[in-house]
Amino acid sequence: MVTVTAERPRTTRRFAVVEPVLFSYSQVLFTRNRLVGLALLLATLIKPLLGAMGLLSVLVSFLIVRALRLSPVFARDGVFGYNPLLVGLALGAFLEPSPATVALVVFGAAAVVFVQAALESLLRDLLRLPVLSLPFVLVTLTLLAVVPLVAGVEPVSFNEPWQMGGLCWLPSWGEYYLRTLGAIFFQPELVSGLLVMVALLLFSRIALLLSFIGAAVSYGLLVWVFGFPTPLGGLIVGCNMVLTVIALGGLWFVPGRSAFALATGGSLIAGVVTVATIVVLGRHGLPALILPFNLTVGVTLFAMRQRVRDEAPKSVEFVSASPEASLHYWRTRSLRFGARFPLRLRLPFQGAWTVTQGVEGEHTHREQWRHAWDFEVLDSAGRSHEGDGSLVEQYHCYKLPVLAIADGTVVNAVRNVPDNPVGNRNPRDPWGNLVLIQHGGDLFSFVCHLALDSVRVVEGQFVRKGMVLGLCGNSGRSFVPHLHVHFQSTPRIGAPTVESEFHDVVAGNPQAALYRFHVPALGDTVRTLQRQADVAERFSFLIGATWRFEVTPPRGKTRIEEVVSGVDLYNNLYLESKGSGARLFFENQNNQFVTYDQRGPRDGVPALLALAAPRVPYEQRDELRWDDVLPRRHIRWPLVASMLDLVSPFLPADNVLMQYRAEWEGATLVIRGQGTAGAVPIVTEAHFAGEEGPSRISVSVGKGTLRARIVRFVAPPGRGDSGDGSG
Amino acid sequence: MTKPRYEPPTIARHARGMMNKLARAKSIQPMTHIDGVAVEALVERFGSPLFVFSEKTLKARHSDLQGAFGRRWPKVQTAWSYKTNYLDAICRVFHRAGAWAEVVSELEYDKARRLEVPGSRILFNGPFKPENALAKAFRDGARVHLDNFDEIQRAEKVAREIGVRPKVTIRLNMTVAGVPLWGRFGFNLENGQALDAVRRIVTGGMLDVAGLHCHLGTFIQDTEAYRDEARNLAVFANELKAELGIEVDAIDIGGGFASRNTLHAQYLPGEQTTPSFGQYAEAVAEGLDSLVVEPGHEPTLFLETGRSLVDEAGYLIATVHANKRLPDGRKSLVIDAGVNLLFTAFWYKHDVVPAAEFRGTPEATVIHGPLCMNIDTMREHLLFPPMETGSRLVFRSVGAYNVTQWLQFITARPAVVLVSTSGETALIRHAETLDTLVSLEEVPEWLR
Repeated sequence: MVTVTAERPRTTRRFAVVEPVLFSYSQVLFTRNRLVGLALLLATLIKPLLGAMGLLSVLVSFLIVRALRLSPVFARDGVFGYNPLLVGLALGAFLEPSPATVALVVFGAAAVVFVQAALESLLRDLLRLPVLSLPFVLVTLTLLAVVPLVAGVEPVSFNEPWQMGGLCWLPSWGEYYLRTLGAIFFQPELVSGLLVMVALLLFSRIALLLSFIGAAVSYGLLVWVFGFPTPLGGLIVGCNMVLTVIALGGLWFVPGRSAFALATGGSLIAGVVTVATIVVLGRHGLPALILPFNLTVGVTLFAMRQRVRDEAPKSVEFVSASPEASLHYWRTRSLRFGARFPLRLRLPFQGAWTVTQGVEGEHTHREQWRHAWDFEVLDSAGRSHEGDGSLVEQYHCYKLPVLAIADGTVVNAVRNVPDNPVGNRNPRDPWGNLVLIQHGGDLFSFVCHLALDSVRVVEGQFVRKGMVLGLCGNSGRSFVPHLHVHFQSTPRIGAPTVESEFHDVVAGNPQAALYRFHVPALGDTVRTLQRQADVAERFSFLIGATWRFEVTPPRGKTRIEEVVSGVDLYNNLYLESKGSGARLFFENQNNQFVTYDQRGPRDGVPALLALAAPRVPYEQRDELRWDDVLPRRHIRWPLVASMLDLVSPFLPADNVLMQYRAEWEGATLVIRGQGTAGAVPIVTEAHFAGEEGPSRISVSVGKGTLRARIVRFVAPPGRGDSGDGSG
Repeated sequence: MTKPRYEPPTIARHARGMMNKLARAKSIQPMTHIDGVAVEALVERFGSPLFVFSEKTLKARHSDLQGAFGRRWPKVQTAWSYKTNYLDAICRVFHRAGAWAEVVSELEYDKARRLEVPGSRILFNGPFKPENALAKAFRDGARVHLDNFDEIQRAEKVAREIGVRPKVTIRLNMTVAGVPLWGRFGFNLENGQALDAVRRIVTGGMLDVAGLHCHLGTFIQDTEAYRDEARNLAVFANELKAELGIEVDAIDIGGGFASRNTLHAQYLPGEQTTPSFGQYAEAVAEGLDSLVVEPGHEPTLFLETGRSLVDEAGYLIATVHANKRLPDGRKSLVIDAGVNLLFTAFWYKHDVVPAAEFRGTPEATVIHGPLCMNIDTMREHLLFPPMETGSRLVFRSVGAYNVTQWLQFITARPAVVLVSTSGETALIRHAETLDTLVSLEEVPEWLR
């Protein structure tokens, strides 16, 4: 049987050189994409001799990478290739071709790999800064500085590459734009520029848009500020500004209005720095290259780290494959999961409690302490106590366990403040008995008014999420027993509170809505999701299991699709369609099933599952409903979706809001979803029959319905006793 | 203007408002409406006698039970005890609220499945489960509670035959202070039988022990008993983990919580002696503290309490048929509902009140049912105001056991209605007729 995993190594071997070469080219535009690489390779080959220098340099660098035993993953992705490429192109552009020049290129390629490795250690590992093309700049400047002393190497007459121009059919700004793009690869030719533009279009529509902005700003800067007679005299300024604007507006910040503003500002700085560099280095006969771009991006990233809140523009935690990917990732993540903190925070209690004072509450949650909650327990009659409520013991919440919100270390615990009689407060210890826990860096959770002698943890103790910290009480500034909860960013008692949310919260009365993240409001009755084993076992998706589905598209004929469950090197679980390679990543959390990205074609079972069961709580109640937000581009025509990318940073997220519920049909759990994409109704249904997981999925968008029905399930080896599922 | 009604004179010691050391004499308040629906209107529409259930109370009791335990233990699941009241509508109210089903016979099992409760959400209890019933339960993935060694063997045989390896719960009995030992159900904990049973199941290799269950008894008003029960179950679970590596996913403390009714033998009224769900939950949670478990891996705590969920939601409306004076001087009311309908009258001093404003002084009264049987006494003794014939009475807290244990004796059983949360009224069981009675009968050929 031919499996997907068996095919992979062969593919890798055949393209062992071709792919890294193409990636080396595309990495100049910050991506790893074969087509983009090919377009860029062609762009450099417009001047064949020059292009050959670049290619030679890349190939030499591979040998050095292997000899130095540098990271093979980096080598494969072209991370060690783009700097040598630029060195080769630059030397080819600045020096007359000769054997000595070739020798210099080989030396430069070797040197730049070494320098890059050093800078990866220094910048990436130590300072968390991207290396960018700094190695290329350093090595090229060094070599150009020694060129006058090297026999057999002649510099090209310095003005030559920049003086093209004179195509009357293009407006001057159009010519400027194309030549600027070409000049990034030392080929300020129109055809090269056109190919680079195609590469940009393939890579990212947002990046293309950013390149327009960068070119336009640089055009204005050159003509109106620095008074260049023709902007073509300052193509290097344009190169630096375009690269800067793409890097800041598309790669290191989530694309959007604020990121674009930052990028435009950054590109202006880059422009000014470029002119200054030209002035300074020009005195020594050296070009500015793209040093200003490297400096500006580095300075901007450092500067933005000083912000109190990483918002507008939001810096990325990792650089995505493209600005589009980054935009959709962050939008989806913040809408689906709430992206305020990387931790998942549970409510600090079990069962349903009611907010009796919320954020910006009328009593004490004001000013710097406004992001806080008071919780009490109300019974079915809405009363917080039995009897007349004159004794703390009569209150439903009194002495109920209070839990750790997330894993962390106890940094403060007070246990000896007496409980007040009902209606009295303690003027000396406003917080009463309390527990303050540090969860990683600068997130602290704080619970207080706990009962006398009920605190079970000590300072310095590591606590697990859900562990009992103490019991609810009436100590401190508390008139009736209740629980006060807030988050802060320093370990000081009484520090200002910070905004936060809780995760996997069931709210409403009856307990009807599940929120992936929720900021409880006054009067909300909230609890944590409760895992039910019979629901959970339907989502085990054991690694190695295979499902054979009969897939019926709205038009066309029924086909068979085989889906396998697997795990990748990074421990991500996925479902993969064997034919198309489409993959749906998912996670089996303690109390729910969550799907993440779907890669590859969108007409198979992984895509169906992503729409019909993007998230399933392991708790089935007939009245429980939950929402999910799905990127609408997944159900748009690809061409429309890519054109929309041009404007997507300025529009609200292009999403489909779906609502789901779960029902039992016999022993089958049925997840039903509905929503609309614009005016088009979307109806989904997914059946989970038993341990074998999905047995039937259907998704209707408008009038078309795509259906999948299981015809055979094979449990992974070693679990053979459950054997074939349905036949 | 109508002529004032004649009230025969009685002589009663003047005792109004007098205090004793425990409480003031309770004045009788009429109950004219049930959840906003007039009693008189109900009778007019559905006849008398009539069982009435309040959906609001059912939901409130369930949410209070779930709340009280759910705030003290991370995973709590209620299972509706079918035998307490298995009318479809009542079961549905609880299932909608999230309760699973706890059944004790194949008939109840089938009824739960008919109500679309998935097998995985049924606890199958009781000392009598024929092979057929076991096979059905195992196929559906229901959790069977094993009661004795013969049943272990039977379960193994069935599992082998149908090719499944079910998870089972074993039922234990134990001695806790203040409650007589219910030794006839399950395996005894103290004499080691329970551990033997688990070892036996492990050796058999056909079943997986995944839960522990105990049901202490019935109408237990002492929360200490539950503390001891929960602790014993927790300690046994620790023992299973340490000795056999078995981690249970369910600890079922059974039922037996008291309702607000007053037992015949009880001096103080039930309202004062019955612990709240919070008090029961406090005791159980303290007992379960002995369990050695990682946070996040706690077993689910199952609650099978039936009576305390449904009792207060049920009412029986009856009509006064006759007044008489007994030879001992007490007054007797003959009403149209008897112990054949209100089976629990044998256990409780049921709380009964007039359904309309009344005049006259309460006096010592016996309430008799309509049966031509000496045992048909609904209340042996209470102070009750004079009632005209045709007046309605409301018996409160009659929701548990009556509509499952009632007898079709001499008369046909009456209708049952449900008042919804929004105040609508719906018939949930038709009144029986002669046809109901004879529909199952056959007359042999020779008698025709």
